[in-house]
Amino acid sequence: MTPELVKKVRILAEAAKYDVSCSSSGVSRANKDRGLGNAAGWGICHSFTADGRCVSLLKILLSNYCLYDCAYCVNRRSNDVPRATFDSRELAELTVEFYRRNYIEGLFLSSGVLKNPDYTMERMLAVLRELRRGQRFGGYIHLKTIPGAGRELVRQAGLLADRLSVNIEIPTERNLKMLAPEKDHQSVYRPMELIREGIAENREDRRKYRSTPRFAPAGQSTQVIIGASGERDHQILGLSAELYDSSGLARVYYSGFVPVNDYDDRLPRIKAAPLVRENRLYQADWLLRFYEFRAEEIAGADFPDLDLEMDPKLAWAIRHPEYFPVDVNRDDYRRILRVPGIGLRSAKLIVMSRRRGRLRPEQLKKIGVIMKRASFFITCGARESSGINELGPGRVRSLVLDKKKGRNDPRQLWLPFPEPL
Amino acid sequence: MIVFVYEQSFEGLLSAVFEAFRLRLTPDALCPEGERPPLLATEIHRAPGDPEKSARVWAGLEKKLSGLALKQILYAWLSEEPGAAELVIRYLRAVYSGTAETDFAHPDVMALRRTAFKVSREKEHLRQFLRFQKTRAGVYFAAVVPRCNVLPLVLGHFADRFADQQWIIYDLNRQYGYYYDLESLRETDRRPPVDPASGRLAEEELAGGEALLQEAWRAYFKSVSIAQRANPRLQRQFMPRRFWPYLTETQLFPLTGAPYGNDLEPDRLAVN
Ligand code: SF4
Repeated sequence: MTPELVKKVRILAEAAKYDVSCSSSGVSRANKDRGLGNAAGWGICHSFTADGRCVSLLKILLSNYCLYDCAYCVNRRSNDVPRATFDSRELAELTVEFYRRNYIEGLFLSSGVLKNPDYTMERMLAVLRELRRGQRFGGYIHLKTIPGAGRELVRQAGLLADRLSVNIEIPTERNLKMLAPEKDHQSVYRPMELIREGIAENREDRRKYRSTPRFAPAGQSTQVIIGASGERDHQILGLSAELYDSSGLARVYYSGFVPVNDYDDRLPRIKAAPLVRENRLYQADWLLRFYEFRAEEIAGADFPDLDLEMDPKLAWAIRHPEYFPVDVNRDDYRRILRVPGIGLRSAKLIVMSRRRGRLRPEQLKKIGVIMKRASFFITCGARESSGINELGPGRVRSLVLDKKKGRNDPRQLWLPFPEPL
Repeated sequence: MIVFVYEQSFEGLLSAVFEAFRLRLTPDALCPEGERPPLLATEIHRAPGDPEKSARVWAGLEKKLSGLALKQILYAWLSEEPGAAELVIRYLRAVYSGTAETDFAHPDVMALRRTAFKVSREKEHLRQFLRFQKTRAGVYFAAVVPRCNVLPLVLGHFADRFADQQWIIYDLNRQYGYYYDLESLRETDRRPPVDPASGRLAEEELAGGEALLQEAWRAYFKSVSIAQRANPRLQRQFMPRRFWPYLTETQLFPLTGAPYGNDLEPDRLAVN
């Protein structure tokens, strides 16, 4: 470690920080042959930055030199910023030293485009090889694949990394081409497809031979930037749903556009990142993955954007009074899950506890149900006189929102994995 | 008020459970041996620690209860909260008289779950916020100050993860720790030469290059924050202030004492 290296760390971490994903979840692996490291399955956050985000991986660029000139990016070639590049050995050692002190779960490696996509990938793979073979590192590795990378390199990447990602960044191709002229959707979807194939084949092979090495065991993810271009929420959620269903992605991340290159006319004039919208999208994403909602139920042609004032589950419930009341003592788990104020955990507890006798409001409260919300949408025993059908959706909306008044600082709403309740 | 005098350990608690069942009594309070029983005690029973009895109780519980419930009982004990021992006995009494483990409408079932949950959160905090410093001898050292006695619960995690390095984790509050020497794990009560307010080792105890490496981590930590999104409240919610003095990245004064250049200014995020 030298002062020069500290400087490099600063430059290349600074340059990587706008990529939101820092998750180290999705794979459990015990230590092998008393080497260094394992993967904990649930992902451990080792620290939290001043903006409240989880620090789990050493999220860093191999290099912030870049051939491309994407409008939304700090590292675009036309920006005059300090530049640096790691040597593969140097970065592998840094990762290991941080890991040994319990600072991190592993490495999240990304890079600007050097020479061409394949050359860049090759250099990133050299870091991974040094880590896995040279340093016998068994911790977590997330590799951000360079758009346009070829088949063989993607294959090698999958054998070294736990998770791969290719960032879509801009949801529609037209806008992508406008903001990032050197990229197109093909350069993103092609590697994504290669990864999907790799994972599927690997699953097949491992069924036959248990000893087949794993390919990207924590799956693949992507990121879309929110608010740098004009897409509506229903387009974004439609895209996510498709990625989850047909491309089998493990996660889609949403990154509220942080206005970095304000000199560029192609970008919207915004003062601050759209954090509330970003948060609502994460909540909607949660509904897609765990609550069995379909994208069209959350945002559709006649309500193209998410309600910024309330979470999408509550917004759905208010649009659908005919679905309620839900009887917590009778109805099935899936119906209970749709009640605002009842999360995954409390829905499970309700179903488990009610076998022993009827649940009353006091018990629901103890279980963790937020009765201030749920009470408009459920029956539990006594005849309710103040449900959504008696009061009307408009009244419920104002009652629920009124209670939250004063807590509407958008920054407080932002959570990394906010469960909509 | 029925009081049991017991040996203050998990095994001691199990022996007390044995007595409670034998005497068909549910104590209102458990009093550690050597301490004065509460003034309101009307009936005092001695329930001395007995390895054989506690083993029998545990074996019985293993048959009767789910793995989760066993874990909750152990965690409740490690919580060191006042009333935790009494809660365990009340809980067992309830479960043995027909209450289901999953009956969360029952106050003791819910209370046990709550207490155990707090302990598992603290255990997770330890896994997250423990920081090793490398010593001159090449051993990685961490001082911790958990709220409950969770150190024993994370040893497996660290032993698996850091199998190829020697390490010591020392609980400054409870004054004991564990030493892993690449072969086995041993308990130690040798007090390390650290600043109790930060867990930091004196500079001359550190391995060469350690101070600069810590500096690199602080630099990283600062660089990844996005100023436009600053949200200190959220940060504190996830990473409570009580941990900050012990975290490498939030410690204020570098041990090197080297003058900071423009791009190496002291960490303003640090606690004062
Ligand atoms: S290719 Fe990546 S690093 Fe280069 S300008 Fe575009 S977004 Fe930035």
